[in-house]
Amino acid sequence: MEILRTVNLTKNYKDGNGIKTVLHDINISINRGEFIGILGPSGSGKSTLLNLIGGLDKPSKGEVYMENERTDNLNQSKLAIYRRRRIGIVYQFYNLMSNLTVEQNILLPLLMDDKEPDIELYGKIMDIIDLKERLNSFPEELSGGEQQRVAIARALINKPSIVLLDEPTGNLDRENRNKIFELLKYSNVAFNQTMLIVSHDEEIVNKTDRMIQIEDGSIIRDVSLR
Amino acid sequence: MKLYDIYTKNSLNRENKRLKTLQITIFLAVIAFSLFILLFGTIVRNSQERSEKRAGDFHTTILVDLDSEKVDILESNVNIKKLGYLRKNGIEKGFNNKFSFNICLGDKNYINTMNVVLSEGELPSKEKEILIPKMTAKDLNLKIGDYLNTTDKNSTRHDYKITGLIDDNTRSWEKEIPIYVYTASNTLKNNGDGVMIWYKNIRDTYKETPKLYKILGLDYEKALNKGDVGYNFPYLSSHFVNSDDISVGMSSERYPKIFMIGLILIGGFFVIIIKNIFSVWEKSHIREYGLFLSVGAKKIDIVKLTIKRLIKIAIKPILLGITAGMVLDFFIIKILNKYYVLSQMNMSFENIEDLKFIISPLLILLILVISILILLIASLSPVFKLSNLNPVDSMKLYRSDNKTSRKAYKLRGNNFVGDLSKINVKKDKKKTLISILAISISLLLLGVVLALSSGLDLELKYNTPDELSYYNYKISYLNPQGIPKNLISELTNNFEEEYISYRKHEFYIELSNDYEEILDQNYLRELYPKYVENSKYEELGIDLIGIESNKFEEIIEKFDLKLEDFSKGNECIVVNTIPIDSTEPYSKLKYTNAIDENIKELRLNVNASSFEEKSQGFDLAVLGYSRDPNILKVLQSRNSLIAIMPMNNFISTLNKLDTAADVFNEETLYLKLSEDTRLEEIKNKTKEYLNIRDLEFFNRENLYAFESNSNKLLYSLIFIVTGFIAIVGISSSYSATNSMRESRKQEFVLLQIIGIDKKTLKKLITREVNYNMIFIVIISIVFLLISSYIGSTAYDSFKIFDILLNMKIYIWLLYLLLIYIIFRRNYLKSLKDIELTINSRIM
Ligand SMILES: Nc1ncnc2c1ncn2[C@@H]1O[C@H](COP(=O)(O)OP(=O)(O)OP(=O)(O)O)[C@@H](O)[C@H]1O
Ligand SMILES: [Mg+2]
Repeated sequence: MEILRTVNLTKNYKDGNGIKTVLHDINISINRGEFIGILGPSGSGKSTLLNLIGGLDKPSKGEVYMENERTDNLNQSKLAIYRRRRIGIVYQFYNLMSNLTVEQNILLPLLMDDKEPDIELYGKIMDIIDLKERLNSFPEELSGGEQQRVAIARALINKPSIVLLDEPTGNLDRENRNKIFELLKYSNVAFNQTMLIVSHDEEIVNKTDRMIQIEDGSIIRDVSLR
Repeated sequence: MKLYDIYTKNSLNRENKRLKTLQITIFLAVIAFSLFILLFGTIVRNSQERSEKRAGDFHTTILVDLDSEKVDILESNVNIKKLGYLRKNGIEKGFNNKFSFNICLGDKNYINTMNVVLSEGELPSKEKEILIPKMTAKDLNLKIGDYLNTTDKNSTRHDYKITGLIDDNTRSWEKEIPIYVYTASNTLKNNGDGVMIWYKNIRDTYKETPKLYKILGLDYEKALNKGDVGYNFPYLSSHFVNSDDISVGMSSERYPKIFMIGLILIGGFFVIIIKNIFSVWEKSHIREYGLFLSVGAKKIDIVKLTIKRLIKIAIKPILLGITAGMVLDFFIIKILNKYYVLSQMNMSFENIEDLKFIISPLLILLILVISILILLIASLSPVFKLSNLNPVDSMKLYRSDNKTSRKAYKLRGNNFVGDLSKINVKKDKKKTLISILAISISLLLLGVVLALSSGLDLELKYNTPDELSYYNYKISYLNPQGIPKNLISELTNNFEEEYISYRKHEFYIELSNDYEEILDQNYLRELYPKYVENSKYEELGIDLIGIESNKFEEIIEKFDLKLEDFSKGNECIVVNTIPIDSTEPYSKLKYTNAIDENIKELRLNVNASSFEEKSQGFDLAVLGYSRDPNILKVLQSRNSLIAIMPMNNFISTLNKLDTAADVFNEETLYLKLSEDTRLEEIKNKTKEYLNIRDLEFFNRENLYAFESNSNKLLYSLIFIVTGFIAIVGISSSYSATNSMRESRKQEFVLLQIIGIDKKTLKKLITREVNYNMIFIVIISIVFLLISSYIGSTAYDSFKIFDILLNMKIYIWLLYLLLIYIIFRRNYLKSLKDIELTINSRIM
């Protein structure tokens, strides 16, 4: 069942020598529960695409549909709720609030809605990220890998339909990468969540269900790996 | 090194906006310093010039009969720069005129000190050449170049050539006119009786002079007690040379203290603000510094880099600030002078003197040095922190300002906004505090200014004796002779219009009176100790007032008394009222009676018992008591009782007392004339009878003008200070919010990515602003109380709450409101800053 669709998604930037098109007429359709890796050289437009899907940025042209509902023209507050309830986002750096503890950071999207976490999911996430002793620590006391695990836990905690990850493992070692992948995979399977992960890491991409390759703002390859 | 220069240049270009706040603050700081120092310098310089003009620039004179041995001692003293010799040559009679001249011989150095009072001509430079007072020359119809002829006590005739005229305040009846005669040093070295001394270092004056007395074989203590030690107090004091032992009314001891406190206050204020901006600014570069360190820069390079950059940033605002400070100073002095001159309008015999605009290289150097010092102090701790920079720490993504605060606070879903804003405020307490501190100090300064102006206001409204509230004209006659009846008659339209004319002298009710007996028993217990405490004397003061007889007769009619009843000469009527609390302001005084009205005799003395010199007392026969403190319709001193007697009795009483030789030489005539009478008219009539040199005229209009102009002067000063503080405070609150905003930006973006909506975010921001504001308001209320306390110590007739209630609180509230608006607006601006479409790439 299709969960996300983009129609002729295009993004232009003005720069010194006029208008530069970063994304050209991107059309993708993604089904619920798919685990998708996005690959491409630096500057090809991967982050831009994620930002457009996540409602963080507006397309210059084209549309984004989430469960057949158009999202690119939603107003600010609807977009905020859209992000809060249906999307989880993880970047390579700086995903945490420095004044909040690890636990508060993880629960943040739920707290915004004054909701209680799903005990089972919370327990499972805690098991996998392996930070039980650090729940009351602050971000500055964690290592890079630990910080990233917290960020991913936060992205998963409210069971979003889609999780967008922009090089979440870029600066981590193999062990940490595996832990994170395990967590993503668990969530993907257990809640039939859709994962969209940008990574340069072949090993990670090879474990996904489908690989989309972007170059110069266009999709040049879209293959199923299963 | 080139790399760092390029880095500095680029960062300065790219961070223009934040830089501007820093620069504007430095600019304001330098203006504040310049103004403070320049105005202070102007006032000090002007007072120095004025004292030099009045008293000359010498340091001390010693009265000593000179001989060659003593001259040797003096001339070989290494501490002395210059000596002037003089001789008081006694009185010489004017040849065919009624004047007597007090002849003073002086050598070149001595005569040179007269330069400041020279109004026409030249200083004498040959034997027998003299200076005489301008007024005397006019009286005697003499010009420069004419000869003044005198005879001395041996009937020898002297012909002096007048080379110059000096300003001198001798009154018409003063018969001994001072005359200065040039005499060669060598003559005076043999027969002089005094020496004028300039030390190399003016600060040695009070240290070296007693030593000189000893070497010259003189008794310093004795001379001191007799008042013979000729220190030039006004000049010394205006140069901040004060003696520990000799207390002088015009002591300048407080000045350096005020100056230092002022500097420290302004300095501290700006150190905090600049440090705050600077450290926030440097903090935003810490990762870059870490990067520098990690690619091989030395820590000292980083420190050098920051200091160099600070200098680059500061040089323009410092120079501009000094210039602006000078320009402002110029205009402020202009404004001050406008009112200052007006406020002196009626001071007929004082020379009206402008404050002069003074700028000296020394002052500018001082401003520069202090500005740089402030910058150095302000940048010290950020730079120190940089020098301890650890590349690993500095590259960390998450930083917390206080490493000790590991405390976790509750974050509940049902109070998400409230809790999160509380956490932020608590966690960033230090940062918040520093930002708020600058604003708070400006609130304190503003509070003090408001409290002082409130005190001034109260003082003017309730505690300013209004001399001319009943009568509308006042003539002061500075002459031992009485004002002629004919003149009074002519001025008052043959006594038709109301007037009073009196002379006054202060006495004490001797302790030899039985105080238990004479004081009204009812009030004795509570009143007397309080009174003694306030007046600092053990005995009650009493002002003896001699009233012109016509008027006196009129007053005593009510007592069924006649002028003949006062024929023995010591009879009086006592106005038996004394304030219950004399610390109350004038217009709020409540009176009671002090003396038991059965008492018929009081013994008075010129001096209080605490005076060392004993003087003869005399008895006053009390013929009646009045309970009307306003019996003369002219406000009297609140600390003394009043006794009135006829003028003739008063003059003869005082003549019997040798100590009161010339203190009663002033008679005041108050007139209540129709409003359309012109002051000129009165002056002209008076001049027909009296010598204009002995007269000073006042009318209500001018007195009020004088008061209102001095008020305007003070208020314009207060206004300027308030305005400046407000500007600085507002600009600092602006920069404070800027820096707080800056530090929150990334978090706000993150919150939005996670899905917070704008409305909630706005609520969160507003909440944080409100928390800060509550904090500021609490501090400001405390400061308001402190200010009122300061105000009540400056104007001690008023209590803290008087001051507080009379304060222009609306200015205060307006200022708080303005700060709040700036806070809110500026903080909410971050909503625009964190527009996701712009910021989605900061991650
Ligand atoms: N605000 C902007 N203004 C101008 N050009 C921009 C802007 N943001 C992105 N670009 C350009 O858009 C292109 C795509 O950027 P994007 O971040 O999507 O690349 P990316 O594929 O994520 O690269 P990387 O793997 O290095 O993260 C780049 O060439 C970048 O220079
Ligand atoms: Mg990218």
